[in-house]
Amino acid sequence: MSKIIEVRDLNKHFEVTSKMGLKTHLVKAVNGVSFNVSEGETLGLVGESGCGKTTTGKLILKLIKPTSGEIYLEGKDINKISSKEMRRIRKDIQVVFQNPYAALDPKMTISDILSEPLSIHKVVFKYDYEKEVKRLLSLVGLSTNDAQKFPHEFSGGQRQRIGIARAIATRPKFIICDEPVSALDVSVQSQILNLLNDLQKELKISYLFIAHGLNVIKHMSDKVGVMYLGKIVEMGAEEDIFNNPRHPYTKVLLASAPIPDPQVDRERQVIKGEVPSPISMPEGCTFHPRCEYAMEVCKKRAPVLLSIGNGHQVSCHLIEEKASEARSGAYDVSLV
Amino acid sequence: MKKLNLPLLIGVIIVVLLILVSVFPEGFSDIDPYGRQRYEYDSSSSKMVNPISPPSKEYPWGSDQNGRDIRSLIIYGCRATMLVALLVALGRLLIALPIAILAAYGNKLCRWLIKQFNIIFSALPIILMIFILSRFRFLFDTFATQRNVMIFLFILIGWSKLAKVLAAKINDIIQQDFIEGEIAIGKNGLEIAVQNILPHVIPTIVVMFFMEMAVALLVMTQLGVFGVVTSGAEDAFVDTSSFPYDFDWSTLLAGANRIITSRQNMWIILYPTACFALSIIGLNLFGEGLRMEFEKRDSKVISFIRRIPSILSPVKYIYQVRNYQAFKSSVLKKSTAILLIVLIIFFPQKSSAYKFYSEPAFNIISELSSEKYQGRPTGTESGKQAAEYIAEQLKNYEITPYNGSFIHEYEFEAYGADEASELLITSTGEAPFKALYINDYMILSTEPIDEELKVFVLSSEEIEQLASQNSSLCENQLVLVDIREFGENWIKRLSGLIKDKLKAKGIVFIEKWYSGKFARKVTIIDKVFSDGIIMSLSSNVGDMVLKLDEPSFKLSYNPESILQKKGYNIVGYIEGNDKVLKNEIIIVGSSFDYIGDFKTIRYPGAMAIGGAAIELEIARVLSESDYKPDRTLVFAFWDGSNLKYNGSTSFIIRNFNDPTKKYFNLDLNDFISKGSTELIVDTTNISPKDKAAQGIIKAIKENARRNKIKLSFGKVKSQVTENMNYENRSIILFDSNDRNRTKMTSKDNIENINEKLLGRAGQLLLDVVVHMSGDTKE
Repeated sequence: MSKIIEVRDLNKHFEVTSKMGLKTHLVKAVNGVSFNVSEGETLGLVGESGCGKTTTGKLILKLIKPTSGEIYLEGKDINKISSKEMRRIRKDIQVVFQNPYAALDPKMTISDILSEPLSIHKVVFKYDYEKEVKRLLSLVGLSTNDAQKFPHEFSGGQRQRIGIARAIATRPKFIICDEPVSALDVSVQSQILNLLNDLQKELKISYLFIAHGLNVIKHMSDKVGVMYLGKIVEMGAEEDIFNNPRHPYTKVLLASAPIPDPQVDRERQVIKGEVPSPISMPEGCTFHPRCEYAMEVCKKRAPVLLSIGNGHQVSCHLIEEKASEARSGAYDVSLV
Repeated sequence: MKKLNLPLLIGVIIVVLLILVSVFPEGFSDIDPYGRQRYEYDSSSSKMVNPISPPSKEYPWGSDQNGRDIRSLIIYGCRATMLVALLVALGRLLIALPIAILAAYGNKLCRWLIKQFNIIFSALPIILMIFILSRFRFLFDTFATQRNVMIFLFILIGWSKLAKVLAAKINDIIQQDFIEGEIAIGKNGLEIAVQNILPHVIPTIVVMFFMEMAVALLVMTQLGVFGVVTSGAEDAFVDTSSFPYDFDWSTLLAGANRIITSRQNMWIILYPTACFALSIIGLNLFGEGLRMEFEKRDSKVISFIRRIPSILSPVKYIYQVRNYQAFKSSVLKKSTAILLIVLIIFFPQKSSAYKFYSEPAFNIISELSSEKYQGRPTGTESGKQAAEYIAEQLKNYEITPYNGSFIHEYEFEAYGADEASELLITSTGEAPFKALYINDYMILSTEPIDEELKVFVLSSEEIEQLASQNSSLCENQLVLVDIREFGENWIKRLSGLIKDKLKAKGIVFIEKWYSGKFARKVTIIDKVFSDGIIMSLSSNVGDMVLKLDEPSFKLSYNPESILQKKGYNIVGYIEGNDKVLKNEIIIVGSSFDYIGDFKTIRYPGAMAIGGAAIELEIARVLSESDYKPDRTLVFAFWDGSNLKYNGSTSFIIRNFNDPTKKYFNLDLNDFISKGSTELIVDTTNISPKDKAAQGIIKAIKENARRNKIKLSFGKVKSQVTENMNYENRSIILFDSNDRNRTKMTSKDNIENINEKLLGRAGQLLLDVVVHMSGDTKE
C-alpha cells in the first residue's frame, strides 16, 4: 500500500525570551518526529497534554512552519513548494479541529461554510454547489434543511459533523483529526467516531488521529504512536501497543487508564513526578526522571527509535540491548 | 417576541429624511434659495421694507439679511452638507481600513503610521489645526475649491483614529480559531481578509462610518461659526456679502455670525444649528441601530450581502432560465425585477404642448450673423437693417405691435465717427499710403491731433536699451512695437518704458484685431498711456509698415466729433385673456445688437443673436397656434446692449413702470455656442415672497429635466438688472457656461452654434413661457 504521508525528522523549536529579556530558551515542541501513514490507514497519536501532538498536526498542515524536517505528501516534499502550490495541495490534506464551538465562522451559514472549499478547489461545477452541500450534509448524518442555519443553532456534536463535512468536501486523501471528540459528551463521541470510521471505509481516506484518550485511540487506529515531550517513544500496530507495550511510559499510560469493571485486577502503577517543563528538558532520555527502570546510560544518552519487528518501534535503552541481540540473530531490524 | 430596535427606527427615519431632502429639495420647498428681497420702499404701505424677517407666513423659518428664505437655504443646502460628511467618512474609511488590516497582520510600517498620526492629531486641537491649515494657498492649487480643501484636511486629520479602532477589532478576529480552519481549506490571505474577517468587522465599520459622518458634521458646525466654511468655489459669489452659489449649512452659520447683534435675529443661527444637531443625532442612532442589528447572531443580512454577486450574475440567470424546471421561483423573481426596471427607465414622459423647431431659429441666426448686417452694431445702418428684419418677422407672425409700432427709436450720443480721422503713411523710397480709419488703423486720444510724427520701429530689446540710456531719440514722436507675441505683463512694462523713459508722444502697436486678447491689451496700454496717443494697426498694414524705411505718420484726429445716434428697440405683444391676470406682464427680452461702437471691428456675433432667434421662434410658434395666454406676453428685442446707453433701460423705465401691474422679466443672453454645456440661471433677483415667480423657477427646473438640459444656478451679468428698482418686477436671467467664448472673434459665426442645444433650450424656454403665461386652452 502506498504511503500517503511521510514525515521525517520533523522539528519545531520555539524561542522563548525570559521576562527580563536576558535569556532565550528553546522550547523543543516537536523534536525529531518521523512516521508514515498509508492509504486508508489511521495513525493514532497519543500522549499527555503538551507533548507536541497537536503541534505535529499543525506542522503537517503547515499552519506552523517547521524548524527542520521533511513532510512528504505522496512523495512530494511540501516544505519546499510555493504557498500558491501549497494552497492547491490543501485539497488533499484536511483537518477536523478540536473545538467545534470555535472552528466555524459564526457569521456564515452552513451552506456558505461548505461551499467555500468547493469553490476554492473547484470540486464541482459552480451552479451545483447547493446539490453537493446537501449531499455532504446527508453523508455526515445531518438534515438537508440545515443548510441555511448558522453554527450557533447546532449542538456540539452536530457542529463537529459540519466540521467533518467541510473536511471531506474537497475529497481529501488525508485528514488530520485533532482531538475531534475531546470536547463532546461521551454519548456523542461514539457517534462521531463511528461516522469517521464509516467515511474512511467509504471514501478511502487516511487519518492522523490525535487524542489523549486511550480508548478512543484504540477504537480508531490501525497504527499507534506514543509521544512524550516532542518525541515518539513507541510506535506500532494497535494490537502490539495495547497488548504488548514495551516503553515504560506506554506501560504506565495504559495502566492508568480507568477500567470501569471493578472485577478486573491489575497493577496500579503511578507515574512519579510531573511532566517537566519543555523549556528545561532533562538530559539524556527525557523520561528518565519519572521512569522506574532508569539506568545510568539513560541519564547520559538519549535513546533512538529501534525496530523490534513487525513495524513495532521503541525508543528506550532497555530495548537497545535486546535489539543488539537481534542484530546478530533472527529478528528483522529496520530503522526508520 | 422580537425586541424593537429603537435606535435603528429613529435613526432610519432621520437618515431617510436627510436623503430625501438631499436628493429632492424641490419637493420640500417651493421657494428658490437664491432669491433676495432688497431693502426697498413699499409704496402700498409707505414704509421701508427690511429684508430681515422673523418667521412669518411668507418666510416659514425667517429670512437672513438679504431676504433669503432660511428654510429654503437649509433644504437646498442639505445635499452639499451631507455630501461633505459622506465624503469625509468614506475617505477616512478607505484609507483606514487597508492600513488597519495590514497593521493587524503585523505590518510594522502601518502600525507606525497609525501611531504617529494619532499622536500628532490628539495633541493638537483639531479646530485650530484646520483653521490654520486651510489658509495654505498651495492646497487650493491642488484642490481648486474650498470644499475640496476642507474635505482633504478632514480626511487627513481623522483617519488614524478610525484605523486604530479597526486594527484592534481585526486583531481580535484574527486570534479566533476558525481563522485556522479557513487557512486549512486553502484560502490565501486576501480571501480570508475579505470573506471571513470583513464580515466580522463590518458592524464596527458601519458604526464608525456613521459616527465619522456625525463627527464631520460637528466639526463643520464649529468651523462654520468661526467663519471657516466648506462651501464651494471661491469666486462664485452672489452679492457683496460673499454668499457663494455652492453653499452648505456651514455657510449659513458663518453668514449668520456677522449679523446677529441681538437676540432679535436668533432664527438665523437657530435653524441651521438645529438641523446640524438633528442630523448628528440621527446618524449616531442609525449607526448604533445597525450595529445592534449586525451583531445579532441570526443576521441573514451578511449572508445575503455575500450572495449578491451571485444573485446579480447574468450568466447564472441564463443558466437558471435554461434549467427552468429546477429554478422556477428564482427565475420568476428575477424576471419580474428586470421587467420593473425596464418599465421605470423607459417610462414615456409627458410631452410639450407646443413644439420648438431648431431649424427656423438656426436660419434666423444664420441670416442675422451674415455679412449683410456687419455684426449689427448699434447706431449704424446695418444695425437698423437688423432691427427692421426683426420687426418684419413679428409683423408676419401677427403679433400686436406695442403702441402701434414695432420699432421704437431712441437717441443717444456716441463719440467719434468714421470721418473723425485721416492717416497718411509716408516713408523714404515708397509712395505714401492712405490708411483707412477703422479698417486699417484705430486711434485713441483725448486731445485732437493734426501733425506729422516720426515713427520709430523698435523691438523690445531696443526699447530697453534706449530706456536705460535715457535716450531722447523718440521724444514726442511715435514708437511702433509689434506686440502680437507678447504677454500682458510684458506689454505693461514696455508701455511704461515708452511713456516714462522714452517720453514718446504715443504708442503704435500691431495686434491681431480678431483675437480676444486685443481688448485686454488695449485696456492695459490705455491705463499707462492715458494721456497720450494710442494707435493700433491691422496685421496687414502693420506688417507693411514694419518693412518701411524711416516711416512717418501724417495724422489728423478729432475726438470731439460727437454724433447723435439712433438705437432701435423692437417690442410686440400678445394680449392676455384673463381679466385679472392680463395685468401681469411677462417680458421675454433679448438683445440683438453686437459690438456697435465705432472703435471696434464688427464681428459676426452669432452667439449674441442666439437669444433673439429663440425669442423670435417662440413668438412664431405661439402666434401661429391657437395659443391663448392668461397673462400678457411681451416680446422685446433690445438694442445698444454693448454700449453704455442700452436700449432696455430707457424703454423699461418709460413703459413698464405701472405700479398696478406686475412684471416678470425673462432675459435671454447668448448661451448656445458649441462650448456651452450648461444653462446658467440667475434667480437672485426674485423675492422669496413672490409666489408666482417662485413657481416659474420650479417650472424652469422641471422643464429643464424634461428637455435634458443641464441647469446650474449662478451669476449672470446683465444690463437689465439695473432696472430692478421696483418691487413689482422680477427678473430671471439665462446665460451659458462657455467661459472660453469665441465671442469677440470672427469665429463667432454660424459654425459656432450648437444646434442641438439651440433646439433644447428653445423648447425649454417655450415650455416655461407657456407655463408662465397660463394657457387657457390647457
